[in-house]
Amino acid sequence: MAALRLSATSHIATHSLKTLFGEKTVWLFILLFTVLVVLSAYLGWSANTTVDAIYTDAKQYLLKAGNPVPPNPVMDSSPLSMLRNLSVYFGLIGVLVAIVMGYQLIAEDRKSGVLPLIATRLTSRREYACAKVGVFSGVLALLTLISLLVCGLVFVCLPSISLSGSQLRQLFEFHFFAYAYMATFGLFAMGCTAFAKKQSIALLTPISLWLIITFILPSLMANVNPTAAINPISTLVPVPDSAFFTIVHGYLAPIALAQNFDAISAQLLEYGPILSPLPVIQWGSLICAFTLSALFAVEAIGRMRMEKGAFNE
Amino acid sequence: MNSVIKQIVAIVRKDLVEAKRDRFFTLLISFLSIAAFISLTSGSIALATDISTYNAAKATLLALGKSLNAIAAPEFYPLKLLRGAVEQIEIIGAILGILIGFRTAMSERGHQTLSIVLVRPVNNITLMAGKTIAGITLIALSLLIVFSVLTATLAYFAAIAMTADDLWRICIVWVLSVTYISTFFVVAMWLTLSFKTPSTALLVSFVLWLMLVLVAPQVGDTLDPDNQVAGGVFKQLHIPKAEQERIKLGYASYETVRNGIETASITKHFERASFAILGIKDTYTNMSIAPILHDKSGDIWGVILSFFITTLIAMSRKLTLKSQQ
Repeated sequence: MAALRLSATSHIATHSLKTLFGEKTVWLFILLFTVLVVLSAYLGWSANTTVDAIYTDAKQYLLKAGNPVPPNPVMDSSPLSMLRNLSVYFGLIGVLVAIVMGYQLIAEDRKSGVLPLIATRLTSRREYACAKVGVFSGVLALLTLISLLVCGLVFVCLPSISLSGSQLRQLFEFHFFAYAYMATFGLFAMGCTAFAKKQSIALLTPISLWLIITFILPSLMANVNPTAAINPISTLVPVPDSAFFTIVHGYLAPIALAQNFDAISAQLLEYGPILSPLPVIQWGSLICAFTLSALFAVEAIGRMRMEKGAFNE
Repeated sequence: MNSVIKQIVAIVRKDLVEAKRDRFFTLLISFLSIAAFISLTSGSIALATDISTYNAAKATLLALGKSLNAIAAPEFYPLKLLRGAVEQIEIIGAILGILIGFRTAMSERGHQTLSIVLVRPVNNITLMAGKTIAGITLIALSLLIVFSVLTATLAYFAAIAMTADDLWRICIVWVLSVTYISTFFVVAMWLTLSFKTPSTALLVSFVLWLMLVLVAPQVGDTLDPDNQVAGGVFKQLHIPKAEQERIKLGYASYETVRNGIETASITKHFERASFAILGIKDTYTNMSIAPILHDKSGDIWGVILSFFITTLIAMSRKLTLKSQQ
């Protein structure tokens, strides 16, 4: 019986993988994500090189003028900070990739009308949910691993830059939190797609949540302008010293996932203030959101009416 | 000619009536209004905090009998408070355009009415023109609500009367915002009418949004060496302005590439023009409107041309019954 259940789950998982990778939009998003990860490493390197060259020019002028020469800002920064743009790309394109994958994994079955057929092969709805969540988690883990490999390659190709053992650990930790952050939205999208009656609502609900968390909450909690979300440094402004922001920040900090992810990224990639150990509220909120999202996905998929799975539109 | 106008009017009227009945549309406007309102309110509260901190410091200095020159008074230009709201329109407004475009196309595809329209003697350009005019009208009305809320909130927080010049500047930014968002509307509508699967069209529209609104400006922003060091690289190295310009000359081609990436995006044109018109960028604060419009004509034309080019492409695409199956 156990072997039969495993077989049903693995069949659904194999079919889901094939369907997912048969979708051109999924490939488009995965390709975009990989290109942007490579680009982020290049941008970090290019910006550092330019600042270094400007420093060399400026140093000549300062020496000629007899002025004191300040230290090179590039030398002050950690080699990990070269990858600071990764936090932006994980928060933007990474989350969208997760949402699209989560949506496609359920929507494809609902649109093609295979759900009633699948239901006849299952002994429990949980098998279907486990297969879908398993495929999603595996593919997202693969994407995160690609990013980790790109980062590794960057440091191999730049022998002048080396990472210490603790910095390597921090790079792993950053990817772990990035994975949890992306998966939170992807799993939520899976749950919404299982729940929603209309296709557009299934896709728009997680995207709206992402927009609120990324662009509206930072504005409400710390007067951070929306375009700051595209600059890893600009997102790190302190909360204004006012009763309003202190109260709002106090209440909303546990759900401010974007800001918590940015703060964790800044510490782990060493481009922001270092706080040791990581504040519990920041990593705790990401792990809690990930767990809740996973539970929501499993519950929503488990309760899906498989005999009438099609969307209304 | 008369019948073409009648057909366009009929399409426009049908789309407007549909939007009026659609709760989804009301939801979209509310979402954007709330986002813009939150940005304006939080900006105003932050400024009020700065002012009260300044007043407290001033009172302390006066009590100690010291000069007030030691502290700088916070500058207060009401229109500058619109920065966050303009950025919300730039990011979330573009999504509003995409969703209205998707919804407009889906209203035909979902109800199978496009097949009925296409078998009648309705020109492709007539159909697209009618739908585009209806979409622009909806966007203009939505943004009118958003800007009215913003102006009323601004007047409340500013505690000073808004001048006719302020209102005129807001009007220009409203027109610019309508043109900017309409570009995304046309693109999404065109893709949804052209693609076999509507959800794929929506996803491709989101990819375009991501590239134009977030990635291109982000790449340009990151390549700016002055953004890589807290407070700016030249400030940290204490380099005088003239020397800065000389050093920058050595990076002219790098700067051209960086600026080229930024300006490839309609969003950056919209942002630069809006920030200048509202005096958000310090260079343009307190400057009269005519020289700003002259100085920013390139960015204003960037927004207008982007809209016209996408509309022309969309209208030239022949819709067929086959693509709507």
